[in-house]
Parts: sequence; C-alpha cells; structure tokens
Amino acid sequence: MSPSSHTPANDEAFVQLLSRHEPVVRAYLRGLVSTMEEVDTLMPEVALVAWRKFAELEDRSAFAKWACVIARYEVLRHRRDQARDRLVLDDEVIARLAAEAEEETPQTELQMRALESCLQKLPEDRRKLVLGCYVPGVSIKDIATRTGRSEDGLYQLLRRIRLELQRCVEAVLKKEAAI
Amino acid sequence: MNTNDQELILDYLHGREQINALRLNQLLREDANARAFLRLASAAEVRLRELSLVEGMNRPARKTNVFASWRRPLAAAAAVVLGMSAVWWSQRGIEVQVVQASSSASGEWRDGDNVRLDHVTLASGNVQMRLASGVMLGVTGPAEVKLMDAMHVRLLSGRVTAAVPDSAHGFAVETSAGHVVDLGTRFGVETGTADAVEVHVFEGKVEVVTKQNQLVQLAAGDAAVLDPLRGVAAKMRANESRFVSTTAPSANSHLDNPFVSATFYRNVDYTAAVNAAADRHSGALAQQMRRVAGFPTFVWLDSIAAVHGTNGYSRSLAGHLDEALAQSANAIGIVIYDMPNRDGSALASNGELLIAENGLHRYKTEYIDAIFKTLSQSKYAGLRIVMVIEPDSLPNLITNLNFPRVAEAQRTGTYVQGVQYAIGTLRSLDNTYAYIDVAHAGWLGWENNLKPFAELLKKVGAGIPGGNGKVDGFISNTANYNVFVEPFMKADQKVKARQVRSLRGWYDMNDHIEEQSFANALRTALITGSDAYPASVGLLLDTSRNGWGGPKRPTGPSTSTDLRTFVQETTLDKRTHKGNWGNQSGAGIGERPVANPAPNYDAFVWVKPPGQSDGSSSLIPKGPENPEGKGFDSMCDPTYKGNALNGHTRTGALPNAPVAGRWFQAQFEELVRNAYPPFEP
Repeated sequence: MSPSSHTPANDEAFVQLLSRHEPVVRAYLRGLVSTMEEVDTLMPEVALVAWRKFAELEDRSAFAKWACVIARYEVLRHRRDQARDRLVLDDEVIARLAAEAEEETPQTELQMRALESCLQKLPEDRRKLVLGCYVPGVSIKDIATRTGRSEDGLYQLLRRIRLELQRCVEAVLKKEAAI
Repeated sequence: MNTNDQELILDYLHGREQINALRLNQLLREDANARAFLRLASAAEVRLRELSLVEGMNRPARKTNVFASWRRPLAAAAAVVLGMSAVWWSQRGIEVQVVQASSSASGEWRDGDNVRLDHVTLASGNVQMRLASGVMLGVTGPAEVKLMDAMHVRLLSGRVTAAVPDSAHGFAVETSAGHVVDLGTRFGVETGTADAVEVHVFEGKVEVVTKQNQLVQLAAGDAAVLDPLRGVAAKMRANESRFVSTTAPSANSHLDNPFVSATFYRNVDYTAAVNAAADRHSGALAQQMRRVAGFPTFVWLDSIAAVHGTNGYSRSLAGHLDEALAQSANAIGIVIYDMPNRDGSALASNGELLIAENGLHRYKTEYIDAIFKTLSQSKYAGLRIVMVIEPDSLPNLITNLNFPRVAEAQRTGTYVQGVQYAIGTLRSLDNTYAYIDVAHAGWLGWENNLKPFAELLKKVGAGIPGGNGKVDGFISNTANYNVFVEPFMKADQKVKARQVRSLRGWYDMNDHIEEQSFANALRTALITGSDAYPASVGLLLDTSRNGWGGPKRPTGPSTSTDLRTFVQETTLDKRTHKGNWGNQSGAGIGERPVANPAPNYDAFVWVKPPGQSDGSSSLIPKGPENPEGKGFDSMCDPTYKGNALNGHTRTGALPNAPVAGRWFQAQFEELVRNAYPPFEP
C-alpha cells in the first residue's frame, strides 16, 4: 500500500488506536529489550511500520496484539543489528516471552491500572523516590548522588519497593478476579 | 521462583552490570512464572515512567488523573510527522456520550450518541452527558461551556451540574471567578450577573479556589457566591431545584468485563436451600455444604411467572434485585430462558410458549418486555446485570432439526428473532451484559457443527438492534458437565497410532475434547471474517458441575496402550457418553466463580445452581410435586437404555430425582463430595 492511499479518516483512527495502545506496546517492547532507551528507539519505528500496514489490519479491536507482532519483528531486526555479546536474553527466551505477551495484551492494561492504585498506597517518600527513578534521562546514579545514598543502597531500596509494588499489583488483580 | 530470582529479573531490568545472564536465561526459559514476572515488571516500569512525567508537572496527586490529562507523546508526534495536523486538530475535542437531552434542548442531540466536542453552546433546554472520566455533566441553557478535557471544563456562562464518581475526584469547573474542584460529590455552578458565580453543593464536598487564591471548602447543603474581584462574597444554603439533576454515574458505563471487581448477588432462596441441606448433616460434609452458599449462582427466569414471582416461584425478578441491593452487591446473574418451543429436543425443560400459539409475540411482550420494565428501574442502575441468553436454543438449530419443534423454530425464524429481540431490548440498558449460550464441546465441537454455528451466530449478531457489539460474549457448558481442560491428554495425542479424539462412542473424531479449546475456536471464528464480532467479546464457562473430583479422579495419564482403556482412565469426565446431561452420577462442583480465569475468558460462573434437578427420573404428574406440570425426559431416568443422542448408552442419571429446578438432596451431596477443587471441611 502506498502512503497516498491513506485517508484522513484512517489516519485519525490510527492515531486514536495508537494513542490508546501505545503503553501496552511499550510494555511489550520493554519485556524484550534490555533498556528503556531501546524502547524509545524502537517505538517510533513500530509506529511507522504499523501506520504503513494499517490498511491490512482487518479487525481494529485487535490493534494492540497486531502492533505487538510488528514490534516483535522490530525487536528481532534490532537484535540482528546488535553485537551478540550485547544481547542478554537468548533467542529462545525472547520467542517465549514474545508469544506469551502477545496473548496477554489486555492483562497488561489491567496491570498498569492496578499499579497506579498500588503506587498511591506507598508512603509519600517512597512513592516520590520510585517515580523519581523512572524520569526519562535520569540515571540511578544521579539520584543516588542527589539523595546522598550509595548507588548500591539505592538499587537495594528500589528493588524492595518494586517487589512490594509488584506483589500489590498481583494481589489487586487477584482480588479483582475474585467475585 | 523465589525472591532471589525476582531480584535477578529486576536487576536485569534496572540495567545492572554484573548479573548472572546464564541463570537469567535458564530461569526465563523454564519458568512461566518468571516470564510473567518479567512482563509485569516491564509493564510496571513503562507505567512508572509515564507517571513520573505526570508527577513532574507538579500538581497535587489528588487532582491528577493521568488518563485524562496525560497526552501520550508518540501519537501526537505521529499526527505531526504524518502531516496530519488537521486531523490532530479535529481531535482536540473530547469524547462524550449524550445521556439525555430535553426535548427543548437547542441543537441536535440524540440520547446514547457518542460525540467529540470541544464546547457546548446551548440556547435553551438541558443536556446531560457523560465524560470519559465517568463524570456526568448537566448543562442548562442558555449556556456556553468549554470542554478542556475529561477532568476539566470551563463555564463561560449558564449553569452546569456535575455528578462525580470516586474515580474522577479532582474534576474541576473553571469560572471567571475561580475554580471549583470536586472532592467526591454532586454540585452545581451558575454564572450570574457581573461575573459573579454561584456554587451549590448537593452531596459531598468541593474545594473552591478563588482568583485571589482563597481556598474554601464547601460541604453538602452549602452554597457560595464568588466575586472575581473580592473572592467569596456570600454564603448561603444550596438550592438544588435550580439545577438540572444529574445522577451518580457509578455503574452506568458499560464495562468490558463486568466480573472484574464485582460482588455478585447470593440468591437468598438458593442459600436457604443449601443451608437446609447442610442442616441434614453434621461434621465435615455439613461444613463443606455451607461453603457452597458463599458463592453466587444465577437466577433462572424460566417462565413468565418467574419474572413476576407467581405460580409457585418464591420471588419475582424485582424481589431478587431488591435483595441484591440489600446485600450491597453490585452485580447479579440471570438466565433468560423462555424461548417459544424452548428446548425442542428435550422434554424435562421444554417451555410454556409455543410458536403455533402466538409464542414469539408473547415472548416479546409478556416476557422480555416485562424483564426490561423491571431492569430499567433507576434504583437498579447501579447493578451490573449479567444475562445468559437462551441456553440451547441456537445450538438446537444446528443439530436437532429432526425434532419437529426445532424444525418449526427454524422454519419460522423464531429462535433467531427471539434472541435478537431479547438482546436488542435488554442491552439497550447500559448496565446489562449479554452472553449467548453456545452449548458445549461435546455438542458443537466438530468442525461440521462449529462452522455453521459460527455463521448462525454472526447472522444473529448482525440482526440485533444496535449491532453485534451489544453481545458481550458467549457462555459454554451451561448446566453441563464438560471439563475446562483435560489435563493429562490431548485430542490429537496418539495411543498405538490412534488419536485420542478418534475414540468411538466418546469423542467420535471431535476436534475438541475440552471446553477451553472449543470455546476459543468458536470465538476465533466469530471475531474474524465477515460480520465479525468485536474482539472484546469474552467467554464464560459454567463450572457449577464439571468438577469430577472424589477418589476416582485420575492423577495422571493412564499407562494403557489400549485407546479405550487409556481414555477412560485418563479423562476426568466419568460419564458414559458426552450426550448424557441429566443429574449425572459421579459429578462434582467445579472451579469457584472467578473473573479473568484464562485468556479470553471473562469468568467462570455457576449458572446452574448445584443441587437443582435437571428433571425427574420418572414421570411425575402435575400436582404438589410438580405444580407447573413439567415434562419427563427419559435422559433423566437411570433405567433408560438411551437413544441416538447418547449413543444408545445408559443415561448415567441419579435415581429418584424431582422435577427440573427442584431441590435434589442426594445429587447435592454427591456434587459437594466430588467437588474439585474440594471444599475445605
């Protein structure tokens, strides 16, 4: 399909779908690459390919999964371009992670929503700290310096908070799942 | 996976350098829980990052609604890069749903319409609309309101009211004299003369921030006049009558999965029957029985009388709904089950309405319309009403046309029109959810049945007023005994070169030996191709009687090399034939009701209340034991030698059963004893 066959209505639909599902696709990418920076690099490429192929998508309600499949190919291409020694996860693991994640796109949205309520339950200082660690472009090292902690100590703390959050998300989803 | 493993995964995501990559790969390769943990951690990290951006905007957390206020950067960038600035511009409005417009409202408003607006200008009349945040906004003309986003509107002139659900606390109305910020409430704001603004609080609290940065809290019953120059100029009593009333929108928006965060109604009559059954025992069994009462079951509306609570029914539909409210439940399950020529291939449950006797008209006007009238009462608007639509009716059209009553239903289009009318009517309410019955794997699993059935369902969907989007999903195994999965064998697994699915008299080349694969195959067929249903359709499974626990439950695959012996020793299902359905001996209660049990599944549910008979073991004449004169089906008779529908085998039914729907103590005992997972004593 040539880009000229895009209609304004299709473009609008595409932007809408992309804006709705972008976090899920980002989460999918994050599960397959080692760093958030790679996600930032790959996401626009995924979006571009998805836009080019948009007319091929028959069932728009399956957008998230469809975009994730596109993302999988972008990840594989990206892995081919990288030096082997920079790849942490091997091909088989990547294949399993990808296949399972594509089936679970609705779950990802629920997880993200649950995370938000769990975050609200954290004491203010921990909430601020954990959010501070994920501001784009800010390194853990910077924050350690700024807050007068050792880098290692900050990692330990962050790990504890993340585990706490993750357990809370699981509990929330389990509770939601129980009728 | 232990904590060390979890920490290893987090360290990897945090980009720590000295991690044990060998161990990480091994862990992720072998342990599905570890992979799930990594996925969750990835989703969490993406979300944390988004939230860190919002937090960076330095707004009080309480007022932050990221869904409403956070503009996802890439889509915006995409719009620009793709040269779509015009498109993006036209997106600047916000999505609203028109809930109600008065006939005097100027302009074109149609109730139920979803429209994108960036402002509302109303010369007269009033309009109520729901914003994406769940806020119900009422505008009374003459008025001009700018819709900034789903959490923020600007009142230029006129009157607005807002009913704000918990999820949208922090919703703000901006005026020339200051902001009104919701703290969980219903309130009204009116612009008056000389730029003065009145704020009236009907429920809860609001915070007013004046132009002078005065901060004033107003509680229910309070009102204040805000002056752009002087701040709060006067306080008085709130006057709700001046404002168009908006109702709390809590349950009004239609959910993708109504089972999530739901508290379902426990049928008081069923609970009483279970407790009475338990009273007849002591010790562990009595304890286990009482646990059954703790789970929700569906209310069967199997006749017109069932809707009204007459003719021997202990309670009307409204009676059950009132009890649900009294229990503070937010959901209830009902079964729509009174199709004309109902159950035309069986006798114990055949219906009261006949096509030849104006049945379809009566079904619509006396049954469905009566249910609608009850459900549409505003006091029930907060209940999610989950409906199982007409068990067995559409499936009968695929395989049972040799039965005259089914053939008549086919010829006249009655089942199809009946289902379309039922869904079209009942789903015109936002708080109802329709799940169409799709029989079970042992009935429609063969491709020859599944394909035409999918086509039929698509045809039905396309003819529903409002479209097939009104269908929320499909339910399999209603009141049946099939297992969700066969854990110890697969359909195409071979035993001495013969596939499991080939076993004659049991699977008979069925593609699906379990409900999960059957229902997913059907769902896939339904969401693809022409007249496809939206992929948001979810599945339900009735697990009320598919437990098959007890001492005879296999704990692994058989070692036999004889196919029949292998399957008999390996399958969980201990029936003599898949076509057997009456009060099956050896069955147990299955998985407890739960939301999101598996991919594509909205829930496991107990539609059939365990312990209610499928039909009597012998003919019981109309009388005290059979007030409605229900029929007798020999499939419930343990001495019957069977027919073509069950491969001419014994029925496997328990003896001495009462008529359909009546309490069957002996069966209940067995279902509890054989429950899987077992009930704790």
